[in-house]
Amino acid sequence: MDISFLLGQALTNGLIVGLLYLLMAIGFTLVFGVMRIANFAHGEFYMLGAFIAFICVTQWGLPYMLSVLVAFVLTLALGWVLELAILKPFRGDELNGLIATLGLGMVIQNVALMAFGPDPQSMPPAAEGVVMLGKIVMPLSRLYVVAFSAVVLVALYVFLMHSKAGRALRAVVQDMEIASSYGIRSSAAYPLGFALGVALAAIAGALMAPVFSVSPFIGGAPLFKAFIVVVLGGLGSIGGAVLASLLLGISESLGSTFFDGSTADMLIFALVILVLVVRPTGLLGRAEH
Amino acid sequence: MTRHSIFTLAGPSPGGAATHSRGASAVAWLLLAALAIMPLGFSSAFYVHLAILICLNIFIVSGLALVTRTGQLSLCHAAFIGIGAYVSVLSEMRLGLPFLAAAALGTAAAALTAYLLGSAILRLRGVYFVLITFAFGELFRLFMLDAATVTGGANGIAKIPAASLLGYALDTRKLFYCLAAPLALASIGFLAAFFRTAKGHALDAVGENPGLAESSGISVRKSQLFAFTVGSGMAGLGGVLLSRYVGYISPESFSAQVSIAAIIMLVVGGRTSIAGPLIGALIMTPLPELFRGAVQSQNIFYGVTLILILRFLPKGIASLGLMRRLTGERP
Amino acid sequence: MTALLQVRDLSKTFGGLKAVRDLSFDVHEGEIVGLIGPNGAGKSTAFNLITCTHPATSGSVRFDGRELLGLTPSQVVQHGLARTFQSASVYGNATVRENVFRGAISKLGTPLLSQLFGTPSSRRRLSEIDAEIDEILDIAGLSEVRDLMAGGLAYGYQKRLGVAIGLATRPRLLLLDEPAAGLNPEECAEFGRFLQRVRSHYRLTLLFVEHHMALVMGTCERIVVLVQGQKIAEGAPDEIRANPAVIEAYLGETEHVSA
Repeated sequence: MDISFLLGQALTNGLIVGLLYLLMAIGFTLVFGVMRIANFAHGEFYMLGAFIAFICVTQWGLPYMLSVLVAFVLTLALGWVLELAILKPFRGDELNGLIATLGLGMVIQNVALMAFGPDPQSMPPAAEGVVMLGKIVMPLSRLYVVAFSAVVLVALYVFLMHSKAGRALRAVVQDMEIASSYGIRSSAAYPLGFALGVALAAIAGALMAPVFSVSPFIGGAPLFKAFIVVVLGGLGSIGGAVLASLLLGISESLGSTFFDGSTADMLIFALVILVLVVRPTGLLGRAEH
Repeated sequence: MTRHSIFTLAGPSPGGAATHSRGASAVAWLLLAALAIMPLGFSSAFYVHLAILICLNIFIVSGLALVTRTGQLSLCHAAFIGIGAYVSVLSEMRLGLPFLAAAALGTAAAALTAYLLGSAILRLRGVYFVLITFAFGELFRLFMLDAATVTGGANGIAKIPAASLLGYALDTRKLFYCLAAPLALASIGFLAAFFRTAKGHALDAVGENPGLAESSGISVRKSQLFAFTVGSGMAGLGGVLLSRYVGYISPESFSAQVSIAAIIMLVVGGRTSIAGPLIGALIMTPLPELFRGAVQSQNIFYGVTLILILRFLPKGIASLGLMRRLTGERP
Repeated sequence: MTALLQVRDLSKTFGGLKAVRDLSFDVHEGEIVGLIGPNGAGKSTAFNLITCTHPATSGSVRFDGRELLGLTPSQVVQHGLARTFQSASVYGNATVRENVFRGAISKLGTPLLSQLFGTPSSRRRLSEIDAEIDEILDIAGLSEVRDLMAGGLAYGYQKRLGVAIGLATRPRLLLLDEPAAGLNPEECAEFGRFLQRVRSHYRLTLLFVEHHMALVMGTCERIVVLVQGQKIAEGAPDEIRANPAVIEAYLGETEHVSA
């Protein structure tokens, strides 16, 4: 096996994985930006998205693309309700809000356990076959993931930049007081920000459901990765999240190609600590006063 | 350190006599002593078992309380329990060290790791710190799983010998309880004494208003590092004891779930009270029995309780009027 | 005699914006100096730079001959320079007495073990500190409320408590961040007298940032005027009052210079 091939394959895989991490990270950053809460239940919404897609495809026979959309919409609604019903008292309360999401995550995971049992279940892949880029193999199903992620990210960009609700959301993330002085109804920004953030995680879950198996425990690893991305890239920085998720995806791919098991993870963790020691607000994060 | 010194410290208490009155009332200490002696009279092995677990949890959660008082939240407390467990077990079983030396080594390893990690990440904003500790906890678990030749991997390490002091093996439940209970009481006593000292006041100041504390000459970073090191060291010692009592450890015993369980105990009991870890451990430890193996319902209950307490009683059960009068703590 | 505090060419740039530009001035021992300027003049930024609460971009701040820039705020306190805050200025969940005690902790000097075991030397030190605290409470007029929770105090009391906490660190120079903000004219005048009492009793030097012209003109011996991050005037209150550049800078401000 020549090195350039290995590298090429690793890079391609890394980009694919990076896009998914980006989806998770942006959702997480959005929730933090609006509510100043680090959402420890974020992984469970990824899991919910996977299960919704799973049920749609295997039980209701819906086409895959539609299932992903259903996962998005349902999680959006659920997120909205949960924010209003449970997280409202913790808006802006960094510490207690974080702890509350710990409890929320526990509840969601165990409800899923009661409903679906602990065993991993699999669903049919989004597409069969592979595509060849020179010598590099890319399974068509993964290509779907890339395409869909890209579409979602573009849609998100358009929403945040050009829609009234999106601009209001950005204003709220920038500065709550300024936003309310412009008459922007910041009270709706909270449930919107949270719902949108977790719905993005659900999309990531739905996209990955055919690739890996589906079980109530799949939320942990993406949560972990989202944290790394967000810390590395700087909380609140979208650009940082982009840079960091690609970096993480590629380092992971390279790492698992050339190292085994947790050695790669440990090296990445050490790298993250190093970056933070040098730049405490992350690669592109803003210094807070 | 004797209990006598805690009472006598009630003398010229820094900050004025009115702040902590006479410390925990004599009634409270008597109640505690009675509670502590009771299990020795139990005939059922199960209740002694429960008492031991409660004592170990009190000790471990007290360590977490120390960290939390300075305003930081550690989501890798279980990893330090694990470091204490694995290092002490491996040094006893593979290197042949006697129990006390192995225990000291395990505790020191946990404290040192916390010191190194804290030095690197405590200057980060609170949220970053929590995220990194979570990542560290996960990494620890993965590393223990991977380093199978040393740690036994997913199979863990079994047949761990009982703790032995001065040649006597503490191999029955009641004997082990005679070690666990005094340590639990000592941890409560230590916290009580510590937070009455000037350094304890400094830590409280840091937790309450770090900007003001720093500008009054109290180094926030040093205070938080101290709390993180000592608190995580306590977790390590808890891990040493846990491993000897259960007789078996595996990476899953020290997962994020365990860290979260400790946080729940602390929050439910009360983050700013000396009695918080005690109350939290007393209430949460026996609960799995109530649920009789319905693990999911139990965890849902934990999650819901946590959210309810955060919402309606954020300072925990220890902040209720009755509790405050018992502990002598100020409203 | 060299000045106690020597600020030289102090500058701070925030992503292209020069908030403070080459600020230089001295504060001599025993003086009460005021730092004033219209809104957005960079006074608070300069204040935060001198106290090392925020890092400076360039320049130097020498206190008693030693360079302060680059130190942490807690290290600065060890050198003898203390500050108060405009908001979140006290520990709300502690009593007044405890608040002041927390200010004194950094000067305690007793090792932890001695504290834990209550050794005679640690008790003696605590009694000394207790006496100092009582004195500070007395001067600040807080003796009656010593056992009340700071969070429940009236605003004026809280401001004085903030100063008391600063005094407990035994500073040589005390910096106050808008100490009169939110006080009515009566309270303001009383506060000015309080500051002068404090200055003479503890032989302190005071530097404060302030909007309240009455307090500044009535209490300060020298005034430094900042506009858009730069010093435009420095001198005694009468000179400043008559300075045309200062008057112009304040045109449009609701506060009048002749208070």
